[in-house]
Amino acid sequence: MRAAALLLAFASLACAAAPARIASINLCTDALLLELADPGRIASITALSRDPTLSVHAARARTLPVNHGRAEELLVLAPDLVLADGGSSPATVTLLRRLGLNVETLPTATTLPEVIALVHRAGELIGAPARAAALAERLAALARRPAPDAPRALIVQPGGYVPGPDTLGPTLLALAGLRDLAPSLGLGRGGFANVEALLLARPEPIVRGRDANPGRAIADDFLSHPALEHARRAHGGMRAVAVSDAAWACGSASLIDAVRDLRAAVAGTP
Amino acid sequence: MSAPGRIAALQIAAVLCALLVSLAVGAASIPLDTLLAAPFGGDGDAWLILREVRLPRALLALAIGAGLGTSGAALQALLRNPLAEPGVVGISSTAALGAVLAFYTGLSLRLPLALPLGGLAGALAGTLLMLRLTRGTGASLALILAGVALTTFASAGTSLVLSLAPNPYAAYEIIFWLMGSLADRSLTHVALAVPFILAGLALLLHAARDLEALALGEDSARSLGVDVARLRLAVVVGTALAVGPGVAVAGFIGFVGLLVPHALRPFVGSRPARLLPQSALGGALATLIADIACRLVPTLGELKLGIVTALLGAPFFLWLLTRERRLHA
Repeated sequence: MRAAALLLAFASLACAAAPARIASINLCTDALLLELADPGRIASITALSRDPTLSVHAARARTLPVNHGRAEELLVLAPDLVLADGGSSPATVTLLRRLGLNVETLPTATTLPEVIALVHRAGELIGAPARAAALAERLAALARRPAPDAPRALIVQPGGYVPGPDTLGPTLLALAGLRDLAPSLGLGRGGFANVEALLLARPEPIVRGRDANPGRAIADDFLSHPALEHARRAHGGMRAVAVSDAAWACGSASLIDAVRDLRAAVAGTP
Repeated sequence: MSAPGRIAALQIAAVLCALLVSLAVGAASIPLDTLLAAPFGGDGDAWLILREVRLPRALLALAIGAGLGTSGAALQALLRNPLAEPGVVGISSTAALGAVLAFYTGLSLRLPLALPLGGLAGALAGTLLMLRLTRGTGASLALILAGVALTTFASAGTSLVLSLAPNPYAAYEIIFWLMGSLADRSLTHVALAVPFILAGLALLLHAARDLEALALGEDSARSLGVDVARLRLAVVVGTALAVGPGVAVAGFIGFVGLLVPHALRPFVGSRPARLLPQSALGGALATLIADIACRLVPTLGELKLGIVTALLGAPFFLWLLTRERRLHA
């Protein structure tokens, strides 16, 4: 049974047709798969995509089969194509390839040109180049360079974490027409901000996540420090704007929504 | 001036110096003259940082340290055991468990007082359990075993609650509760914890004279008119008040209660009436200095306070254990 399925996988490869059943073992390849492929061709996505704090596609993900990135699960599914990305465990990828599955590893995109290239590449692999080209065009339309006197913003995640250039964070700010304050705080490579530094640097705006985490943690209290509230009252500024973290976690269509939301939030309240 | 008087004066001077250093040192480097001018209508941001960020952590370090030092000295006197200390006997760990339960269930969101009360309840339970396990005798072996059991159980409970918490960040906060920190604490935390700690200090210092009579043995203390049961209750409640709410806002800070009374004994003697107030000053000083060290060591984020106190306290504790053995050999 399994051998037959594998044989089928090889056969479909040999024909170089669009893969009929595609699985994804990473949150970001999930997003691309959901955006570019017809639901009927999605064999499996990761369970992470069902979490609304992590994925904008959570509702759709609930209607699809999920995996936990483990080799055994995928072997049973025997998809024609497995999409992984730079963040996937190399051990799993190697194992899947040894077991004869067709695994394609997509790069992690952190800039707009990288996102566009990623979308094209995903479109090729999935066999939906026209959809990919349309999405790439919408992404390309986001391009914007912040003015030299643009507001200096800072993305602050729970616990004071400022995402670095290994994420789309700095790109999100630039596309929204904002300068990134992180490098001048010594956080150019990402890291933890502290209340004192925020008080002196006065980022405007502070970009925070929109979706509250379930339950409670000390990390969630970081931006509620009374000193920040005092400073807001004293000088104005340092306003916090909320953008869904999940929307810019991956280089895919939701980046368009994240940029639009942030632009609207910045323009909205003075 | 008497020798203890000189020591007290010296300690107060050192606390004041450390307080100034603590206000001058922080994540943001602000020139000293800007800081000095800040309270008198100078730079608004510097004043804000002083008042809302550095002052709260200094006040918390002083109060929490005083609570740990005094309760350490009081427990050592009550149990007549030099190894007794809130961290070693498990009280700080049970306090952390109580606070963690109050915080991560969201209870403290609806009722902020639930946080220090959770710490207080945990500390109270830990103290009573410890007394029961040692049957109030304070024999070294029973005390250490009870302490190990309580600490292990409560730390595991804390880690379990944090691992099961729905919030994805909760698991990362295990290190805060097990290692303690004063980073980015605010005046809100001062208001939540310090009144309780001051009440605990008052109770313990008031009990110091009776503890002195206890040094002669329970029977002698009774013959001197000391109500031993009431004294024990005063130390239990005083310790819980002095330790629990502090742990609830700053996590587990170990070894201060052990280190401080022992470091002071050679200078002020073992009489509780003298040692307890001196230990309050010494605990405040040690914790404040440790908290300054946290800010000076360059690490990602900030070094945890409990790491500094444990690094200093653990070798001292080991030395104490070997000396104990030599004395009783």
